Amino acid sequence: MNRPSVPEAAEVLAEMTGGGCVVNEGADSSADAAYRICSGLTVYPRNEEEVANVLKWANENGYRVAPQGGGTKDALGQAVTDPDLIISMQKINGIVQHSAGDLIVTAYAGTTIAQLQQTLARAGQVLPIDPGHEEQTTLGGLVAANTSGLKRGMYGSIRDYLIATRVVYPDGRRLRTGAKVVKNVAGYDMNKLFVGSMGTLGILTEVTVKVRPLPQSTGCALLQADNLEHIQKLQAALLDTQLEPCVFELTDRLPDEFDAGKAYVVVTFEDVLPSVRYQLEQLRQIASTCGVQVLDSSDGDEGKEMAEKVLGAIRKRWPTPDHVVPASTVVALKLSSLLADVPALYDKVRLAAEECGLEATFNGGLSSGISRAIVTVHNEERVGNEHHDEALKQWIMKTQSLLEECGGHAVVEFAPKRLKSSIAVWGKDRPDMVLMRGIKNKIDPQGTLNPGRFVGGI
Amino acid sequence: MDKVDKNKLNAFIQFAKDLLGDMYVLHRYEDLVAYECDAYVIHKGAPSAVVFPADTEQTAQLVRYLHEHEIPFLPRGAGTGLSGGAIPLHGEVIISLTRMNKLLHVDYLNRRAVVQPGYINLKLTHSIAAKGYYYAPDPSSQASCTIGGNVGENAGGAHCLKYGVTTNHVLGLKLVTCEGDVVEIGGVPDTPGYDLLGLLTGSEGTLGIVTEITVRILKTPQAVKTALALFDDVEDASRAVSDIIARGIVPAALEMMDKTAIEGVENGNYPVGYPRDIEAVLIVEVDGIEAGLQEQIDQVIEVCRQHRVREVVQAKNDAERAAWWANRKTAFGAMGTISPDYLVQDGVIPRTKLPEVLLKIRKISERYRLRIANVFHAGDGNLHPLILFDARVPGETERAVKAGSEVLKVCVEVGGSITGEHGVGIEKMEDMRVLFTEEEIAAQTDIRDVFNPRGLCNPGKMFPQPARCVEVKKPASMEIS
Repeated sequence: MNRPSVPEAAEVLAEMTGGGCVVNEGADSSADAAYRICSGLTVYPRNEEEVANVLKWANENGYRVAPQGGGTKDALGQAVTDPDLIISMQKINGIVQHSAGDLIVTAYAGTTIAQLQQTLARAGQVLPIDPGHEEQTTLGGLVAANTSGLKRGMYGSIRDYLIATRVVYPDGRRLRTGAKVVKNVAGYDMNKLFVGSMGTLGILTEVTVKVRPLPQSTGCALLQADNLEHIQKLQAALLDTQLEPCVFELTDRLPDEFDAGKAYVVVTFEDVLPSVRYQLEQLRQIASTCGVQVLDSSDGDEGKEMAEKVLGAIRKRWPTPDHVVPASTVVALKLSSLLADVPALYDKVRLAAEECGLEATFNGGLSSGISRAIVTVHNEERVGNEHHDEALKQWIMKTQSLLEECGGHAVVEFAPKRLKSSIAVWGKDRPDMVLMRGIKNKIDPQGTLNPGRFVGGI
Repeated sequence: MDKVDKNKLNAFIQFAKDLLGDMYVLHRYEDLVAYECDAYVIHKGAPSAVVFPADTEQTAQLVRYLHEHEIPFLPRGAGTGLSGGAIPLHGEVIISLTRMNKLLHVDYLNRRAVVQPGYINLKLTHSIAAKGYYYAPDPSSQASCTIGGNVGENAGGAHCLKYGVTTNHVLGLKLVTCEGDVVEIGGVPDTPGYDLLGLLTGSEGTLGIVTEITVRILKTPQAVKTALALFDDVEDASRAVSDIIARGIVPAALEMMDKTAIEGVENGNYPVGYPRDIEAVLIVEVDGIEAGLQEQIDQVIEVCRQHRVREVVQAKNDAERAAWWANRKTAFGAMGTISPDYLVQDGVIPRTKLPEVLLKIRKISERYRLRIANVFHAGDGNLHPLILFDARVPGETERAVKAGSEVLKVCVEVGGSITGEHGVGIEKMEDMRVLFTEEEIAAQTDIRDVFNPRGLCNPGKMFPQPARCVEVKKPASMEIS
C-alpha cells in the first residue's frame, strides 16, 4: 500500500472537515510535552459523519489514530509510538437533548462535564460523577477512560449511568448502542464495551446517561486520627451502620486552613437536611468510640461550601498535562482494592515511596476501594529530568506488587513517556486477555485506533 | 441446526455418567420433558440430555467435551426466564446449574458475597439479613430464580429504580468459556481491560457459563415508607408518576397496575381488597435514613392528591406493606385466574411517554380483540403488558404474539426498547430488528463470535438470523444543533 505523506494527508483531511486539519510542526519542547499525545496531524471534525470519513480514511491508509477529548488523559496508557493522527472531538460538543422528566440527557462526546452539569443544574439535576478538571474533561473522554471521583462510593461510576451511545468504528460504520431508556436488556450491553476502552475500539460521538436530582442538602465532616488502626475501626463501624456516606475518603492532607499534618478522613452526606443532620450526629458518635477526632463539620450552605473546598483540593492534586509545573516530574497511580485494604495501602504505598527517596500523597476511597497516589519530584537544573526516574520506576513496581498481593491493581494513570516505555502501565496481563484481544481484532483488525496504548499491547 | 447425532450423544452420555455419576445425567424421554421450556411456554423443544455438574471443574470438563465433539449446549438455572432463553430448540444438552447452589463466602466488611450460579436470589438476602444486609436486585421470581440466571438475563426488579439492576451489583465472575477454559473476570472495581463483566451480564447464556459470582451486598435501609394510591383514571396516575420524579424524589420503587391487572391480582392468592371499579393503583416506596423520610412520603401523597386520586394511604406497618407487595409480585401468575393463557411483554419507554403509550396499547387490545392487563415498573418506564388469550381457540396464540410485537413497536417508536429485564431469548429475536439496524446486530454477533466461535453455546438465540437481500437500515444521521 502506498501510504500518503503527511502533507497529502493534511490536504485530504482538511477537505473532509472544512479546513479542520492542523499540521503540528517540529518537536514540542514545552514542559507538558512529555505527558501529551504528540502527532504530526490533528483533525477537528465537526460532526459524526466527518469523524466517520476521517477514521475510515485513516484505517484504509495505515494512519494510526488517537481520539482525544479534553486531553486530560493524554498521559494514560502505554505509549508505544506516537500516532499519525489525533482526532479531536472538541468541535463536536453541546447538549443534544435533556429530558428532565425522564432523568436522562444526551450530549455530544466533546461536551465538557462542566457544560453538562450547568445544563442539568438548571433543571435541578446532576450526573453524580466528579472526575475533577471538569472544564476540560469531556463526556466521551470520561466514558473512554472510565474516570471517577470521590463520590463513587455512593453513586458508582459512569458504567452505572451510561445507557446509550453513538459510536464510529474504524471502518467508518456508525452504530448505536443501548437505548435512551433507563432499563434495557435488548442484545448485549454494548455500552459497556466502550467504558474504559481507551479509544481502542471506536470513537464515541454521542453519549446518553441517566442523571439524578440534585441533593437537597450536603453535610461535611473532617476527621483526624493518630493512627491507622483507628481509621480501620472507623471504616468498619461506619460501613456497618445504615448511614449512607457520599464521600468517605482517607487523605494525607487538607487545604491549609484545616491542615495539621496527619491522616484525615473526609465524610460527606447528601440527602434531605434532617437526614444529613442526623447522619453527621451519628458520625460524631461513631468517631468518638473509634478514637477518631472530629475537626470540623457543618451542614446546609456551609456544609456544601466546606465539601466543595475540601474535595476540590483533593481533585486538583490529580494531574493533567496542563497542570505539570516546569522542571518537575509527576507520576500518579490509580489503585483498586477491596475496601478494607485501603487504610493499610495508605501506609504501605507512602512507605514504599519513602524507601525510594520519594514522597507520595495519597487519597483513598474507604467506601469505593479506589485510591490515588501521586509523586511529584522537582528536578534540579544540574541533574536533569531523568535523575529521579529510577526511583520512580522502583516505586511504581513496588506499589504494583503491593496491590497484586491483596488482589487489586495499580494502574499508572499519569507519567512521562520516557518512564512508561520501561514499565507495565496496566500491570500484569490476566487470563481474560485472550477474549479482549479477540474483541479488538474483530472491531479494529488493522490496529488503527490507539495501537499499543491499552492492556496487553491492545 | 440438526438434532444431535445419536452415537455422538450416547458417547457423551457415557462420558457425563462417568464424570458426574448416573443420577446426575438425565437422558430418557420422560425425564427430559420437564426441560422442554422455561417460563416462556409458547415454544418447546426437548434437550438431548440434562447434566448436573457439581462444580466449576466438572462444568469445564463437560463443556470441553461438548466443544470438542461439536455438540450444542446451554446453561439453565431455575427455568424462570420469560423469553425462552433456556429452551433447547435444537436438541441442546442442558447444563443445569441447580446443584451448584451454595453461598460460598460473605465478606461483610467489603460488602460482597460469593455465590454459586444455582443459588436462589432471595436466599442471599435471607442469609445476610440478620446482620442487616441484603442483595438489592429483586425480580418478582426472586423466591425461585437463581443468581446465575439473574446474571444471564441482567435481571431487574421492582426496586431497581433506585438501586439499579443486576449489572450494577456484579463485581466478579468465574467463567467457563465456550471452549471449556476457566477464567476469572473482574474482582475489584475498574479491573484494567475491557468491561467483560458488563458484556457477560445479560448475555443470556450465549457467551459462556458462569460458575461463581461475586456480588455487592448493601446495608438494609434504616426505614421504608410505602404509599398506595387508587386512581379513577390511568392518565392521572401516570402524571402523578412523572410529578413524583420531577419533585426530585428518587423512590425505591414506583409500581403501577391497571384495571384488568387488578382484577387478576384480586382473584389471586394475595388479594388486597382493591375496589373493582378503580382504573389504576400506584405503589410508591421511599427508603433510606428515617430522618426526613416521612416528609418525602408526605410529598408523594400530596402529588397523588393533586392528580385527583380517589384514595391514598400509607402502609401502617410491615405486614400491610408486605401484603401489598405479595399482591404485586404475584401478578403474572394471578392472570391465570382470569385467562387460560397469557403472554407477557417487557417494553421500556421514557416515562414521560406513559399516557401516550398506554392509550396506544389500549387500541392494540381493541384491534386484536384481546384483553391486555398492564403491570409495570412505572418509575423506570418498564411496561409489562400481559396479553390474555386462550390457546385452545385456533389462531388466538398467533394473534397474541402479533399484538405483543405491536406493543414493542410502539415502545421503540417513542424512543424505548423491546425489553427491560426479561431478555430477548427466542421470543423477541425478530423484534431486535425493530430496535437495531442489521449493522448494529452484526456488531453484537461479532462479539458473540469472539466468545462463542463455534456457536455451540445456546445457539440461535437473542439475534435474528441474518437477513438476505434486505435493505440495510441506516441510523438517522446526526446534525449539530
